[in-house]
Amino acid sequence: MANLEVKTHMSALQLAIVVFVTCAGAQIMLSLRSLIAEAGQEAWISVLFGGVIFYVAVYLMLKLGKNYPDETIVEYAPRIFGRVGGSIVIFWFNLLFFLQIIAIFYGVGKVITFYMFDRTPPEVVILALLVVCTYCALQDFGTILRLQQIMFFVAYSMLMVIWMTSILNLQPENLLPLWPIHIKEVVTGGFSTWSLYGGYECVLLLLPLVYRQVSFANLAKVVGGAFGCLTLVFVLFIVIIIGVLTVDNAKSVPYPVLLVIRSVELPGTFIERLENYLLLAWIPVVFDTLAAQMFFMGQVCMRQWHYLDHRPWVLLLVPMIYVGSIMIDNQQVYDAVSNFTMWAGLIFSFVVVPLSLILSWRQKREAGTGCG
Amino acid sequence: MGKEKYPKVMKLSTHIPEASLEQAKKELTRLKQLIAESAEFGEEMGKIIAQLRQVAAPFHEPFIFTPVLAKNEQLLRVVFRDCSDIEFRAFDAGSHKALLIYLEGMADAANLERNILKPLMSETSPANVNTGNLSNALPNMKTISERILGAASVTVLTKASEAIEAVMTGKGLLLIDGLAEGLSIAAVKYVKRSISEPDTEYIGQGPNEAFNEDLADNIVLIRRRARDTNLKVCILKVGERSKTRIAVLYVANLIKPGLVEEVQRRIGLIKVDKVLASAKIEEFLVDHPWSPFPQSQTTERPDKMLAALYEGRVGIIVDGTPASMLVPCTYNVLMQTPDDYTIQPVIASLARFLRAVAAFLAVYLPAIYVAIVSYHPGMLPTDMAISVAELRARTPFPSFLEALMMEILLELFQEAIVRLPKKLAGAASMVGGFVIGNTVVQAGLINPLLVVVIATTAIASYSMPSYSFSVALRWLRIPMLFLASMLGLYGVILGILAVTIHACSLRSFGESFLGGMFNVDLMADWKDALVRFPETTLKKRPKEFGAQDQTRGGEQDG
Repeated sequence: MANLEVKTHMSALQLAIVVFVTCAGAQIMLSLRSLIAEAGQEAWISVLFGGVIFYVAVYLMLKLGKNYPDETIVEYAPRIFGRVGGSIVIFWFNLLFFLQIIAIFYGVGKVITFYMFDRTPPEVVILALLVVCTYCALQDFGTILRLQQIMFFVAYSMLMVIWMTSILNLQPENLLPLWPIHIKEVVTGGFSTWSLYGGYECVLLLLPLVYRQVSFANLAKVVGGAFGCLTLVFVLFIVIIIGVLTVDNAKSVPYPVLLVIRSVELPGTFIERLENYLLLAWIPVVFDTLAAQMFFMGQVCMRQWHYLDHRPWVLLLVPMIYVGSIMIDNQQVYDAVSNFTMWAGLIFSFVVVPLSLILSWRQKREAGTGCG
Repeated sequence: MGKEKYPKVMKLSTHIPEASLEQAKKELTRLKQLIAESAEFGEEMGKIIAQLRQVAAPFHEPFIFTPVLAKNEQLLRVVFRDCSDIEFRAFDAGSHKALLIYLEGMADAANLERNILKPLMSETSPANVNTGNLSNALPNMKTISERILGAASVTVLTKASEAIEAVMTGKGLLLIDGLAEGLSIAAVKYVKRSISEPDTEYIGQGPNEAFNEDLADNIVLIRRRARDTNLKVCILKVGERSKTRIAVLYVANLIKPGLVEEVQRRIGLIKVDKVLASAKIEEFLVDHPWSPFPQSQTTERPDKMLAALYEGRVGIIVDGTPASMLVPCTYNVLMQTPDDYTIQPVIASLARFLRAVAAFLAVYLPAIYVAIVSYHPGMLPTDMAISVAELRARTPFPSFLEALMMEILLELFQEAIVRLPKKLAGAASMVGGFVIGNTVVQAGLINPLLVVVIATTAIASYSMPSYSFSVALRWLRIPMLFLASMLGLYGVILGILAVTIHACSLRSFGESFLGGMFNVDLMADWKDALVRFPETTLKKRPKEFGAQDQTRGGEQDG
């Protein structure tokens, strides 16, 4: 009895933190330019819209998970879709994590080399981060959960404090018109925010740790709170970027967030070049998203092939992740991967999950009818 | 075909005289003689063993007591052969022969004389009108102890191993002719250090008694502070040869179920010949012996141990060492001092926050310096960047090498000061701090800013309440320096993350090393963690140790 208290459950609040930390990560720095380019002045409305529709997606996932309170999607997908169909769904589910991970590694490599080490190859930066993420993903869930909470309190507060200093350069007139009427752009942009909100699908793996302790209503409320916080953070970023740079300038620079923070000067202090500080606060944020997603991938593989330990799978995935991330060698490939990931994520959330829910209800009804 | 000529066959003994038949017969006779002598020798050995063991002793027992005192004495003399400090005092108890055995220097001879020898010799004397009838009948040790002896603590022993151990622990052993049992008399008295102030945990306002090397004294220091029958003490013995006594202390109605059993199980699994310090036990008890972080809390303060016991933790006191252990151990308890509870909560909170900052600086400050100077000078204000560049221009080494050299120098000084006699330690720190520190700067070998950085780091590490935690922080600096030299601040951040992952992964008897820190399910514990709320608000015990009764109060009814 080496471990007296093996962590086999978590509270609703902890699940909300995991959802928040897994979703809000690297894309704060990487995806906002394309969103602004797509949605223009109403990007902030798209973020709000995205928050609502992806919360609906999570709500459906919570409903689906409630039908199988002791199982993850890896266990119940084959029962809903059959052996082959279930395997395809599980592969799809894991592919989403994989694509997000390699895109984030690529983005991190680019940003860090661009702003901190212009003579260092991105592969070195990626490899160093991959080593630390792997070390984390090899740990048990109790360790990951504690790390997520530490990052939530420490890294995100640092990130937000540094980012909020850019309010000093905000010019409100850049935000006008505040409420333009371009429904199509708002809706398209809203769905594009999947890259920002992506990662919430981890609830399909984590619900068995929560459902026996917490009611559905409470869970929906708390996860809704997490989405509220996510939306607030993204809106703050979007509003400040447009308010400082204007839409035209923001969509013409690769990393508008860093350009905004770079222009901040804090009179009377010794702090200069705030973009370096923001990057330093951003690295732990990226790390926790990546480590969690690598852990989830290992867990999916472990459950799919009926192993007791996820660690061999994590180690097996590491070279694939590294090769995948360095194969994205230019912005066009990155955009293509991001687009593909977004569509795969949208279809999973709004087609596969609702379909699973309908089929599971139907199967339960038939089973109930059969019992007479 | 012609007739082939063969050489003439000759006897082997012609060439080798030793191979002759006569010689072989002689050797065979000698061999037979040797075998016969060996058999006789074996028989004699068997007789000696048979004498030593009148009947077959059970496993793990050297012999069993017989009613013949002479035999018992002979057997004990064999066991205690070449132990000149064992005293065998023969005397007459009435018509019976008696023998008192004790370890000189460990047993109180005056006490034994007063309470054993005198009563036995006088009470059983035929001249004694009151008890003269006892002189011929000494039925058993129990009666003797009840009716004749004046000693407070006596135990009847039937096993030889217990008798031997009693003598070795300083007790007197009484044997009487006609009785196949012994009597151990607690008369332990040996030279020991008196109760003094703690060396490393002195506090300004509050009690300052510290444990010493004697287990009984240490338990008394705890017992004296709590008249609580739920405070349990369980004595175990570890060490095949040393048989060191280890006390496991806990509060029965608070402790998390399974924790004491787990501690006892792990102690029971220790297979070593000797235990001379609690640190040796610690390495067997912890979950991650390769981690640099301490996973048990060490203290020499009885009040600290008692406070921990009432939080649902387990105390482990090892005989012969004042440094006692507390498990489970978390980061928070390592960063707290008893002083925190004797000063104002606001001040204590600031002190704790400062300690947390100091822990960060103790590990990462040199690495941050190297990273900024080598990779990110642009993060410094322009004036400062220019002055740093000027200073750096005077030194020949890269900043990483400079920092590494200073680190090595610092560690050397610290090691030297710890090892040196106290009188020389002052001189050594003077030579190290002033002479070498000044000279390396004046010689242009080291940048003065780096000296400030390293000195700050050293002072930060000294401010840690736990020495073992401070040492862990000291040695983490080196890998951080390497990371900073390779990847700048990016490397430092990755190093911070790696250390954080490791800290999160550590478990101390099933509890997270980080305790309730940043755990939203244990928010109630945050009131006495990085900050300290006033005592009036601390009505609950920390959840992180899983105490059964969460309310700080008396025993719950029903």
